[in-house]
Amino acid sequence: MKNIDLEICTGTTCYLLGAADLIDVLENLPEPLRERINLRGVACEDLCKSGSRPPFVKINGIVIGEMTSERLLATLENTLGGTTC
Amino acid sequence: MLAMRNNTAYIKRDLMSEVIRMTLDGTLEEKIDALPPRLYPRTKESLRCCVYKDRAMIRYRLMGIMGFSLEEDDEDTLLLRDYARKALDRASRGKPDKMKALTMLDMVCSSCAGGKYHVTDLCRGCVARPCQINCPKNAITIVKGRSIIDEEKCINCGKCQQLCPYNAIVYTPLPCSENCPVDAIVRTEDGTRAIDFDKCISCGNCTRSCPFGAVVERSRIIDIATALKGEKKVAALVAPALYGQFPYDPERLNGAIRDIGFDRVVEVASGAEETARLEAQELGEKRKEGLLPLTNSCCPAWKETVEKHLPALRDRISHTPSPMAITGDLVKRQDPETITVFIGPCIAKKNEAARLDCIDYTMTFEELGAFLLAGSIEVEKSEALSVQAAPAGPEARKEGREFARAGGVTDALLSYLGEEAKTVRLDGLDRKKVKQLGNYTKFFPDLDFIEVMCCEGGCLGGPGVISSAKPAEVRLEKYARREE
Repeated sequence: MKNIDLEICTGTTCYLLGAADLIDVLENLPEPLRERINLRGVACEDLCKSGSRPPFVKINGIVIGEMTSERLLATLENTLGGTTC
Repeated sequence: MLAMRNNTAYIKRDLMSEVIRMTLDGTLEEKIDALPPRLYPRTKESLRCCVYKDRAMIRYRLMGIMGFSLEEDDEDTLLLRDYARKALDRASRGKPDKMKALTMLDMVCSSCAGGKYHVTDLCRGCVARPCQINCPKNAITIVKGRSIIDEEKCINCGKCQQLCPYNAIVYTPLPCSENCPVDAIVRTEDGTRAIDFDKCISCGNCTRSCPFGAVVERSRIIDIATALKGEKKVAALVAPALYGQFPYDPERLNGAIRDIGFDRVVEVASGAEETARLEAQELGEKRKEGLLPLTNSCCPAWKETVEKHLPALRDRISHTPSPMAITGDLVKRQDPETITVFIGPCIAKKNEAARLDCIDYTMTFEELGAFLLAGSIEVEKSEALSVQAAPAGPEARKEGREFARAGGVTDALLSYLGEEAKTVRLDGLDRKKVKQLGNYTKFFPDLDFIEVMCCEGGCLGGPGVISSAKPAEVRLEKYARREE
């Protein structure tokens, strides 16, 4: 099975409006799942000026705004198949 | 308590940054009434019964953010712009009079009927009836084949819940009052909760445990933004816990604080060194007088707990000024005209600052974050800036910088004491610990020093933090030890 490339914006705006939470959630995933996610923090790319709201993540290259920890878990679950917890 | 990050926290940060932005560009009065409908347009899904209620709730939140009290200042006929005018007027006069740090938004309060046990539909009215037989207060009767708890008699012991073979009895919690260490949340006649300010220690536990976000602090951001716009120099006095809050280079963070408009960044860890040195001295003196144990005075919520609730410890609390007071005093001695803004994790510091001449305003890390949001400041793009020690004060060591974690105060004190001492550390004040401390001779006999941190984990676990405690502690430790 393929791993997931997950980039999380660690710019100040995203960090304050939820990215810190997303990173916490990922670091607390069970080991076998965590291993299948290539997590990378990326600097601000000014995505917040594009209309959608922070925090931004990229899952396999696709930008998603207004990410919450629940939605992130659900998306990972869908992409990986099976459950995350 | 609630997970640290949740919807109410993000709504608050959003609102605060809007208010700061409008204050800085001089449009607060003109634009603030448009804010609630802008956040909750008719087309948006509502969080409550309708968008109109959502908007009304935003109005109350904005009053707290502008520094008002719902208990004292709410007049339904006033528009937000009227409050904005009052707030700007207050801000133009400089440091305001002493005021309560918290306010209860009674319209936001959901009047939770919690704090008690009740029997659900799962009850089968069994023959064994362990709930009824074992209830120490005879509070359970069987009506129409089902157990019923008489609330008048029930003492919330929970025996019935433990014994029910069908798990039919549940406890519905009452988050605000259960997390209040001093029983300062009272029920009003209409069922909503109110703060009993004679008991309240401003720890802020209720602000972060209410799932509706009904308790809020009265913010000073308009006053601070106004000071930053003005002619006078403004110094940021940053609490040691700051350097655990962000995943960025500490010097760039200092630079970002300068970009907000502060003229300098002064490290309160420097004042913490002086606090620890003086407190060690005090401990030596008290030992000679036979007045031990000594207990710390740096945690303002703890100090207020002693003043209001623990008469037995009143002569034991240290007279040494807190790190904030020492740092502020040194800054004002160098230049009395400088406006001092303490930036920390704490709500109770607002009350402490109100009693001090050397601190003009305090704000939390969350409010600092709102200033960064308002200015669209990217910390990683800010130019690096070194933090300063308090003028003529000691350089901060590892010990001063680690004041922010539970146990840090004791460690710093011992580093100056130079002799053995028997100490105990209590972090995370709750009702049980307050009770034990009231009878400390029984629970903590033969001690030299009692360190009490009202928040679990020390200042790193304060109500105004941005980062969760674990990563914050790792980052702070890295910062504190980097010169070793």
